[in-house]
Amino acid sequence: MNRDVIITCAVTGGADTVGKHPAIPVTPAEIAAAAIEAARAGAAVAHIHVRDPETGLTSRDPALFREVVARLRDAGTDLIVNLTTGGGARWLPGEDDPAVGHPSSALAPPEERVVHIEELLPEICSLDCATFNFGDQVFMNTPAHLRVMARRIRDCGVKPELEVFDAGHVRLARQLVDEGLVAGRPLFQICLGIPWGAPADTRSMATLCDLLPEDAIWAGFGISRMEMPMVAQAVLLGGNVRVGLEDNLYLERGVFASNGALVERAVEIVERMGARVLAPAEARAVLGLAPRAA
Amino acid sequence: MNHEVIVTCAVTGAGDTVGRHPAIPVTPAEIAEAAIEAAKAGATVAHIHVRDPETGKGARDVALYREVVERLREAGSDVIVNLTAGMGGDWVPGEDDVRAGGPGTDMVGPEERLAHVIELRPEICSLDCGSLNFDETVYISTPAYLREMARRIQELGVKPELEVFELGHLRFANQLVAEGLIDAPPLYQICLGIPWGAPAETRTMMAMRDMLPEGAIWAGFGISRMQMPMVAQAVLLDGNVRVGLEDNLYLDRGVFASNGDLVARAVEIISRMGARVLSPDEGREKLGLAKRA
Repeated sequence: MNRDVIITCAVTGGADTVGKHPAIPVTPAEIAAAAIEAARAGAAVAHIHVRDPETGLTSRDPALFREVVARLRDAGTDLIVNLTTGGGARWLPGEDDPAVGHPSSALAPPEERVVHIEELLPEICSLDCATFNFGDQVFMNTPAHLRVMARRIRDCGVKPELEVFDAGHVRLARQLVDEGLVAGRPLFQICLGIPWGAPADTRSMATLCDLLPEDAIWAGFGISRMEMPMVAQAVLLGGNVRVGLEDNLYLERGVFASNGALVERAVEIVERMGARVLAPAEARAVLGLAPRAA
Repeated sequence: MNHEVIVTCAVTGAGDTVGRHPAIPVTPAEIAEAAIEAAKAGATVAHIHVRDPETGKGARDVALYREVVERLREAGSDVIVNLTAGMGGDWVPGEDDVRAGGPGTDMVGPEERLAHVIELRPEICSLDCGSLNFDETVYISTPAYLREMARRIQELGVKPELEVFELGHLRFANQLVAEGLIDAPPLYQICLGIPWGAPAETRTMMAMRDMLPEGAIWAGFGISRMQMPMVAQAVLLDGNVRVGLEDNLYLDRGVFASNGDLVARAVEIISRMGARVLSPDEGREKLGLAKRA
């Protein structure tokens, strides 16, 4: 069991949830405010996507990331910032020629998918070590594209969080580590319950965490109503946890959650299990991130 | 433990193995012969891909499948024929436009992937229940494609073998079953060790076995040197087995295998564990297949 737990809050995500919840953070101001709210509730890390302020749909516009990061800095928060690089990976076969992506496909060259990381140098960025059917679309991260992204992330000194959604993804992530493309102790995020990745249950989390390299630091989460049960499960298996509106919209059946409420509930579970929630400075030490100048 | 084991031999596959082994079956005649050799050694089912006779590379030309099936029929072979429906899903992002397939791409729609199954109506055809990085190529089977293929296979009265390389693929295969697109009993193949799918080891096979719906019949295999260990593992976990040159080129370190050798070795393991290998007719009964006229 993990007695010193890092809580990540994934405050908004990139899914089409704006119409499904009354207060999904959309603008950079709202996203920054959500991260600060999560930090106040006990989160050490905020995992951040941005959205088009007009449509509420996912975006990877560096200007939006820039504004969120600037707002967090101006607010003087100590929170660890984790920016996604998951944008630009969706692909669907075209209707006339299946080999050519459907016009809705967002797949972008790997260099473009890390420009906001190279510019803003967050402490952490995610790296999805996976190609799989994510809902009805293909979430496309080829080994060749991942190598380009991993090298650029390493070269700018950002810590990648290796996101895995299934057993083979752990193998591919380990391959990147073995190739020297990941600096320091590898950091994994075991993402469970997304259709059609591994399900959010004890067996999958135990199976995937057994596959991790010995020196890995890891967190795990389940989506929707398995979010809170998987908080307990990850702590039991020695991991850290992630909650937030990206993964789950409800605090209870029929009760919409806020990021603050989800983090608070995770803290309650972690503490009642006899573990402690780490402050950002303590989490930096565990993750091997440079301490913040006071 | 499974005491009555169906042995499938995957005789050639579509991997780029022709230069790496002296006798990979390439022509329809060689592939049919390999299936007969496997059956003689004890295989209940032959899982069949075809190859371009000129280049030796994986192909999906209906005429090639037709010739293999005709040759098996003419030879009076009783082996259960399982034709792959896994071809036509290979995709590599292009250099200039990443959204368009580049060299190495062979990506077609669901109907075209089933052209040979529609014409030849084998007893079984495989159905790969997900997308993954298959080594450096992307293998793509979207949920929409899979639903359409499953529906078509059901109409044809062919038994789909639901190939799963990951826990999430198994979840989607279960979804197809739940949607009524797969007739009972559902048949699964747990494919382990392919980069970058789930690794070939006890814990992954167990995790996936535990996810199967009630009443499912399943087999499992590991590739390369985990082929024989996973024969034992699958039998222990109540499953059936698959061996063959598609998955592994060696009988022992440095010793090239034949399909017959690999089946014979699997039979040795199974019988020494106290289980029995089923004949094709016994296999048909277990799988609920009607024997073809």
